[in-house]
Amino acid sequence: MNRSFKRSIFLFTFFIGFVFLISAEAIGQRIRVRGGDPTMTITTGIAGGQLQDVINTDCSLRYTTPRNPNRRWKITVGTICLGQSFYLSVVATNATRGTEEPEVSLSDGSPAVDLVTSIPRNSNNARCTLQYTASAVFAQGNSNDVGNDVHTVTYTLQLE
Amino acid sequence: MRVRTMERTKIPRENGIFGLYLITRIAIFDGKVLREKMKSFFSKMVIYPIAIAIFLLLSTQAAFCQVSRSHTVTVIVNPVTVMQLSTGTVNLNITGADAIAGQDEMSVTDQSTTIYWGTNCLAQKITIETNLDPQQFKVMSLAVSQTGGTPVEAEISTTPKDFLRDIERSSGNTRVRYTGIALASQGIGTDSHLITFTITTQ
Repeated sequence: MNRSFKRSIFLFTFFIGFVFLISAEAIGQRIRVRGGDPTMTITTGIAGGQLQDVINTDCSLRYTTPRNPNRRWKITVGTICLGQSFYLSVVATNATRGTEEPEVSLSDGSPAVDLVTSIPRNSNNARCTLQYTASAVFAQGNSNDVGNDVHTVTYTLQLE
Repeated sequence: MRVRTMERTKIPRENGIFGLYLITRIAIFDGKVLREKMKSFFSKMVIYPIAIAIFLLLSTQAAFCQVSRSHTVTVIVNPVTVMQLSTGTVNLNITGADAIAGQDEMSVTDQSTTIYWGTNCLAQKITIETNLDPQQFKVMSLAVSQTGGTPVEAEISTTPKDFLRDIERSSGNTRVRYTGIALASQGIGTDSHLITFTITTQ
């Protein structure tokens, strides 16, 4: 084999390795939302006060971080909700790995905010409960007049 | 011979992906051709793969270091309208202490009652009515110090009368001013009312 052919073989091997690395990284970290798509309905209020909040804890996150790189990970949350009328917030509770951050108010278009931080590498199938709180004030109206708020809530597992 | 014809007619550029595909197919028939074409193909493509690899590495670094999942959360707010009264019993005693000689009408007022409301519906109103019929003495009602809406003074009867109109989506309160009115000519007596306030769509 001449020199050119050897170089070709090297390049071919390089490509295969590169693809393998990408695949390995993609498999290394995972995040899943469990519990489906919750619907929260506010039905009562206090005269002279405000509508009563509704809390939902049916959903949870499952997350796995790879052995490498040797860095900590975090989960951020953001939402898209066109024409948002009411309030929605979320907080992670009972996280088995990582640090739970304070409650996050979910507003349409706002930047993703930290939900769980300091997740160690090589965390396998860690989980946390998602506690959603829906709230509204009387002045915001009702869904019959202004429509429902449909949030597409996105959780992102990423390096800190 | 057949293989070489394909080379000349169907592989105009040896570094194309389709060319590589054909080269692979050709190789099935002729191992020699494979070696020659592979050598040619890769030797001419030394710089580009490295450049592409570096580009991909840089551009996808952030992408494959994070992974996202989404779900849908729906918030529904039902129409809610609530109201509450602060006190139970109100006594309006006309004792005659303030009576003016020569004047038939005597009156007394009370503002101890507060109404609280909350509504997320448009254009609400509060009405007032009594269960007492007939009445010996007249009782008037008026909303005062209200945080919203428009007061309407009304004589209380068994027919609902507007008490506070034009209440928008809000949480608020108002005092109720009752005025008991008696004429000296009506003599003495007691009227016992069960007053009902209702918040409803205007």
